Amino acid sequence: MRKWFRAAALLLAVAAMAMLFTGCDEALGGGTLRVGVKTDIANFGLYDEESGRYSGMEVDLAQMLCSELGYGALELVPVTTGNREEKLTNGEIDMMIATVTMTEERREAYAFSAPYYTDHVRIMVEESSMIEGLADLEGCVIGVRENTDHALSLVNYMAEQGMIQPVDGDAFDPETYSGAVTFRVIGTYAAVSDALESGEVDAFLADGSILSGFHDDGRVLLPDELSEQPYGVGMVKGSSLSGRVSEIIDRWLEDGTIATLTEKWRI
Amino acid sequence: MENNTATATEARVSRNRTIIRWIVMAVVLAAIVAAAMSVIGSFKLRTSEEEIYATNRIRVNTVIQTLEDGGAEQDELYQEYDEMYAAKLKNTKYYFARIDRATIDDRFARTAAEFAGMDSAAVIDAQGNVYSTWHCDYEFTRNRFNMLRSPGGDDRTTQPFNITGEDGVVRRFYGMEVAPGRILVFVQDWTKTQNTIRRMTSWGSILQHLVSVDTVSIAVSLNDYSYLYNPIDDLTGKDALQNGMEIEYLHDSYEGELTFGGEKWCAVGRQWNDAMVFVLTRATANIVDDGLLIGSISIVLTIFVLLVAAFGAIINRDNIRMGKMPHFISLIWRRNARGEKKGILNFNLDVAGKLLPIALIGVAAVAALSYYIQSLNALSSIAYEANWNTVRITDTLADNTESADVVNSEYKEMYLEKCTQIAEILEKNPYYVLIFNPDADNVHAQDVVRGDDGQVIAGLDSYGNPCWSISEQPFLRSLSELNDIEKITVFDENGRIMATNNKEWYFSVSDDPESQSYAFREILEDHQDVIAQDVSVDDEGSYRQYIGSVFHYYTVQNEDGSTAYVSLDDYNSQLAGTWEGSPILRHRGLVQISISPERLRAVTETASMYYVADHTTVHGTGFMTIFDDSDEHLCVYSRLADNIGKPAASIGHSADAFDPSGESYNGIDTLQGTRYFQTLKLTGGDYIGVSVPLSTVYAGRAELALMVLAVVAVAMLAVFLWSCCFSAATEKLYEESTDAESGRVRNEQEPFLLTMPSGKTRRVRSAAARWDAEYIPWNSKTPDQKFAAVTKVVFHCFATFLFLCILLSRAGVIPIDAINYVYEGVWSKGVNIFAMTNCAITLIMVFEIAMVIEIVIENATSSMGSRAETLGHLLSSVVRYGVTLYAIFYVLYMCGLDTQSLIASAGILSLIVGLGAQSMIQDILAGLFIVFEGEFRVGDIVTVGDFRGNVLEIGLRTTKIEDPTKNIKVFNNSTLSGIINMTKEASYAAIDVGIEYGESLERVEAVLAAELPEVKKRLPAILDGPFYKGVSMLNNSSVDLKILAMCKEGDRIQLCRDLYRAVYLIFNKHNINVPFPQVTVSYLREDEEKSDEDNAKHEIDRTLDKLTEDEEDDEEDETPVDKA
Repeated sequence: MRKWFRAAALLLAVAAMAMLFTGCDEALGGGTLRVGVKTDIANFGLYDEESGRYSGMEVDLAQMLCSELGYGALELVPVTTGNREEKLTNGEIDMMIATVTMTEERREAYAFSAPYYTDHVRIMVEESSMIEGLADLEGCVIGVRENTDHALSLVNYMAEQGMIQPVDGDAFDPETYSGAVTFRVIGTYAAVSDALESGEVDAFLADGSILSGFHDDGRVLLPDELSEQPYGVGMVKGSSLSGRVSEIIDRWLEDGTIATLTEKWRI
Repeated sequence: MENNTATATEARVSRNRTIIRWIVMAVVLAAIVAAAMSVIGSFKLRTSEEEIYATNRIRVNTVIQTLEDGGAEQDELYQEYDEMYAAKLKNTKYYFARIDRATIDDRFARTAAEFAGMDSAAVIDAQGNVYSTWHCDYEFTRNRFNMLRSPGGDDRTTQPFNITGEDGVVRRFYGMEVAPGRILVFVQDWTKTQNTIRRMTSWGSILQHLVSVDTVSIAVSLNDYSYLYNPIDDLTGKDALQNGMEIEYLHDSYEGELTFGGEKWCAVGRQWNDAMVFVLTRATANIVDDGLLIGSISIVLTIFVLLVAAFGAIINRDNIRMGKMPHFISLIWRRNARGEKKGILNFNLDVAGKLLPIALIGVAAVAALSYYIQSLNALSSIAYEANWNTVRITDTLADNTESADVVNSEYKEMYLEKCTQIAEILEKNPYYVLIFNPDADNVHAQDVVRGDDGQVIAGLDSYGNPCWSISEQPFLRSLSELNDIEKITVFDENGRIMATNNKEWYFSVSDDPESQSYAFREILEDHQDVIAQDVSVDDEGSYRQYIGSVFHYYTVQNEDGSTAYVSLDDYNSQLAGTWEGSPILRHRGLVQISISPERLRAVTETASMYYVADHTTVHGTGFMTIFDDSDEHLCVYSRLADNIGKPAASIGHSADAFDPSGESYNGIDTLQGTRYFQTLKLTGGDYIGVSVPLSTVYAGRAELALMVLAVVAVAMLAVFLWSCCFSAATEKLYEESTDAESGRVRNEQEPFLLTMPSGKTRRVRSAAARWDAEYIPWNSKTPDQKFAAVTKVVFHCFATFLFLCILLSRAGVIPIDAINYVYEGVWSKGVNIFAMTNCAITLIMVFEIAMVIEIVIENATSSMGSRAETLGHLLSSVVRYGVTLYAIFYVLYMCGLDTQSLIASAGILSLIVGLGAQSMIQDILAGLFIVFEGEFRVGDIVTVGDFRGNVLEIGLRTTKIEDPTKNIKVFNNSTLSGIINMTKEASYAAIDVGIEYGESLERVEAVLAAELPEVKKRLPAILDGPFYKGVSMLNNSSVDLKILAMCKEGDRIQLCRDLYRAVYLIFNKHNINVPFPQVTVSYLREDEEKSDEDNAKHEIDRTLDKLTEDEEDDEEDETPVDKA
């Protein structure tokens, strides 16, 4: 009898201890998912030095994928447009969710999911300039960042709209072009924004995602959407991940999860 | 011998094992209870958390309501500023266009800027060409300024917009067409304005007051995700997403945890326009509270359960020692080899019977105590919060008043400027005053209105419309519209109206100092140039502000005697000498504007107690009420509009809740049928009350109490079963217990068997033992006494612990709301929880201290002799009675009885009592005298009447004396008269021994002289002697010798016996006979014929008779002698 009691007592004591530790999380097994994200695009992938935190739609997407795929932890690896593909190929990252436009060449080189966001090149103007549409842009100075093809996109678009004669893409140079509009090529996006503020340029031409970071009360986006740029999750071709990720993204596009994300970040 | 030792050792070992069993069981039980309580604790935490969320849900709605009521409408203020600058443009245009048709030259920007009080201005055209600038350098041709270059025409200003310059300063651009093709641009430093507006209407100034203990309100802008206001870690203005906020939380509504600076907060958020408003409560706030609550309940629970377990253990152990096989039933049994039923698990009915009532009492006690602790806890934290709020309201009011003052002065400045501008305009343009021209076409002679002095002051046209009148001057009307001013009134030097834009032309500046307009006489009389009065409320409740400015008007006398008005320029030309006309006279008049700033009303309103009270929530459903300080304490503000104006008594407040000395009142009152926790305090001239419905306060009490009840019931049941069940092994223990031991135990504990009237027998100790201050060793205690001892120890420990808690709490080390409240809060005396708690704590403390005092007295006096001991005993009694009396009165006082009058009325009572207590007082006095005069003391041997014995105790009232046969007689002190105290000196043991008549006295004396000293050596009780004292009596049959020995009184009787024995032995040794009665019979030889036999018989009969008489005389036993 005494023996039984001892055993029971021990069991109860253990149970008591266990109860006291209720609520302790225990990490279940699983590896680490490494995702490359941007650090300087507001609302997509932005890194804040002070708090050490990433924020943005793509960051959220990475977290959601991580738990959906069953990984134990997520590691966010900062990438730039220049080095993201390299990091993917040499294995530093498992996938890149970093405003990667799915161009033809890229599609050949990597596996992509369906586009989770379709960006366009947009035109941002100051409200006080009273420019409301493409037609008002005639004679205006458009600010673009160097080494981008946005100017060409605009010109092509305007040609499509019948505003101007079509232009030869190869010979096109934004710095010298003088047609219905003129371009000012500026070194950084921030500088273009300042130029817009002071009125040096009448419009800011860039990806919508970029423009969203410079948007404020007195500025407005023209409704025109140029040059579609779908963003997708980029992975190594043939990896086991790509199939699962694509399937998940497809599902989320259908059931509105992605739409919620877009709404949340107001993009 | 060996066997016994072996058995004894075995018994001891098995006893130790039992003890270990019990200890293990106690530990396990405590662990289970701890686990159960932690589960309950987490439940309580969860409910507390739910409560917090529920409260905050209500709070956030209140906050948003406040915001909507006009506190934080920065947009409106920005709009007002926009309107103000637009008005400046319009004013300027009006001034220069209608009056001063100056060419807009290159100096115009500067002129306009100076006129309007702007830092920066420019004149441009629709293409952006610049004609004039003043501190203004922009490329106006750029598309950036398109909006500026496309005014709407007429008097419309352009849509303002901002440009952030390279220097980081935000500037706002306003434009208006002042002349065909000429746009006047004003540029304003908007950063300055932004700061001003923020200062005037900051989120902080509104949100910082909507807080409570451990609760704050924050707001996040949904435009740029920065903190509009966050007092935690000074995060106002910082980016929210990087500082504790997640973007998921920022839409619609949110409930959950937020972390700032490492602390967790329970937050409820709601979206309001372009902001997300949260109300946060520190998550740990309730953890400490709940922790203490659960902790104290757990301690109580554990103590009770362990006490019952201890009682069970004690009973069991004693029964085992006494070998008393209890009545039991077998729960599980098996048949052994011999086919007998052998119990494996038995249930002890005896123990069950003893333990059951205690266990039930324990369960009830724990349940009741947990309910009580919860109530105390809930009430005290509410009390704390409510009082905090009452204090806060004064601060809030002060802050609001300050903000209101700031806004007031800003407005004043703004409108003062407008007023002076208008005065300037009027000075240059006298056309506002158009003299009534009776010859005008549309005037009928009879349709005139004359003033008191016969002067025509108004005329009506054929339609009945006033025209060319002093009222509703169109010029002034335009001016007032442009400037968003309600009324413009122009007064002449006598204070009479010259012109006004509204219908009230009969008004004049009053001579009566009581009147409001009287102040403006100061301007007319050249004492002041401007007057800006504060916002006041007129009779209809509208807010109005009057501002006045001096202005001069110029008149000339026409040839026909009428007066004509000329302008300032004309006067200047007169001064310059170029005027050609009648002399111009300069007059000092007054321009007065009145504004009804509706927006001002909202801010000014906040500077009132009522506003603050309206926007305060206490604990969710609590609210504030305000009473004035009249005798009836009329309600001046209440959530329920019906109550406003009613005297406090009709709502349910008692008059003594209103303490004019400023002390706050806390109590539980029934107001209009519902029970509330109520505080009231005199603050700023009014009484501010906070009421919280008790149902909210006590929410969750019942569930927790039930859970605790369940836990304690289960624990008690476990203990009960554990104590009552015993196994075959234990059965053996009963059998092993030896008879000798059980007998000894029985004797130790209860040697006397008493048969009660009910037929039951009880074992009791002697009466004397009850009064013995002697310490009874543990083993000699009965189980009940052991339990009592354990309980006493536990109680003393608890009292000490309580004392420590109170000290720590009052010193602020670990503030416990409940304790602080009981001592600090001013409680209404009555049968309420705080008063009763105060009573209980105070009584415990007082009795503990009394006990300590008694112990100290006892220990101090025990070594100082019996007089001190008696005195000490007396003091202890005094302390005991005094403390009890004090306790009674304190309890009555706490219950609300007026003990002052009680004691006073006790005067008559004491007379009655005194008469009845006569004998008691006599006893007490006698006792005091006995002690002080030392007639006898404790331990003396005294004889009172025929009762001789040892003095056991001299009490206040009675004295107890114990005789040699251990009977105790209790005397009232007053009856102790004629006491023989036999202790003071030594006593004498005296014996009388007889010797034969024929014996030689000298020989005997010699023998005694030799032997008696030897006797002294052999009898230690003899202090001195024995002494031979001589012949005491010549007795019938003996010569009696007296022998005396000195001894203690207590030894006297025994010593007498010893002396007799010693003397007898001495006589035997020396052949001294101890005499016995001798009779010599002699008969006369008279008649020989008569039978000798007859004579002999006759003589023998006579002798025998005589002998019988002698026999009866002798004390000693006689060996009957028969010599016949």
